[in-house]
Amino acid sequence: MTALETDCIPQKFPDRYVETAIDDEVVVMRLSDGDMYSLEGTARDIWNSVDGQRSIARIAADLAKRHDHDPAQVTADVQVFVAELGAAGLLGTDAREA
Amino acid sequence: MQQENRAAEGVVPQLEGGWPREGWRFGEDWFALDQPGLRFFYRRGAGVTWQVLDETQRKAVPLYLSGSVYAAAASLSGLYPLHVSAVLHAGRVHAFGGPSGAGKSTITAALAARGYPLVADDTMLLYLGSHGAPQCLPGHKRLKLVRDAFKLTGAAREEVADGERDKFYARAIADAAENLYPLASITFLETSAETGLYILSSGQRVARLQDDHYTAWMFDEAQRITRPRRFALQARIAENISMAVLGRPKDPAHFPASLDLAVRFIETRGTYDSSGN
Repeated sequence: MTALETDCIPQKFPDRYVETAIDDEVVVMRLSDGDMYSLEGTARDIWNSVDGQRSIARIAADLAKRHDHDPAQVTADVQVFVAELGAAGLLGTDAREA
Repeated sequence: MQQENRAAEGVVPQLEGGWPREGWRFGEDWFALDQPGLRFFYRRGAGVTWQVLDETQRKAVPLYLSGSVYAAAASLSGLYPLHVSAVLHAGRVHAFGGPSGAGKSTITAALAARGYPLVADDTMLLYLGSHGAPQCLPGHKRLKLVRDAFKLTGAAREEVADGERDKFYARAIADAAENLYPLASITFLETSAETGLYILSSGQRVARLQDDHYTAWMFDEAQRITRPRRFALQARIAENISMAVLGRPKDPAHFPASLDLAVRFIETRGTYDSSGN
């Protein structure tokens, strides 16, 4: 899978899923088939950071700063996460940062 | 309530649009179930009517009445059915789930022999309310056990309950719970190479409730709820209870060890994890 460009602005498709936070996880259910995604740790933080405003690069930079992690590694994590949930139909990546 | 629980043999009504073939049909306040040689019709306020079309199937009627028909009637009233057997400890209910043959009734019978009051066998109904832990309705108190389980649990064997699965009724061996109690935990029984018990994360808990396809489907049909609404209900159940998987080899020699783990889990109010996590 080709890595997404870091200027992509991921956007959630709220009409395609429901979500709930329990303990320290976010559980997301895809409405089309009932499949569930359990998001913990970094995955949960990325999901919660997707606001339709910030690019992959900005999300990664904010998370790396907040958790004092390697920015390159966090960027790679965000790219993979967004690609996976994009493939699942929960996120879109058409928008680009100006 | 007595009227709701009424079950009588009779002639089931004709249905506009016809009876389902070997399946269910739900209406606003009724359901119809067609099974080989048997038909069941329930209407809220009037109870269940059952009709035997093939006499060789008559012996299965009590199993339907205490199982899927019971769960469907409850679903129409907004109660959430779980395919579990359960006991009571310190005012809270600890349930055991898993597919048919997993050993739900056997481990429950063994716990009852140790003095834990029985809450329900095979089907337990939850009153969800608007917040907090779901409340468990006391259910059927006559445990149905496979032949070999009587040796493991010390229960006394009575008449045949289900000839096809070689199940017999067990004589009551402990006090039974009679009131509403909050649900504390569900332990799912699985076959594994080693005996062990591990606690499920919150996401896994929601998914496990989703896995109980039959009862979840029944609730959906009866309540005509949407997928998001059911997800919200399952999330609320998962949020308020503990869940674990108890794995053990099929060999009955491992039963005492798995029973000890179940007891430890119950006694710690659903917090013990044998994997050390």
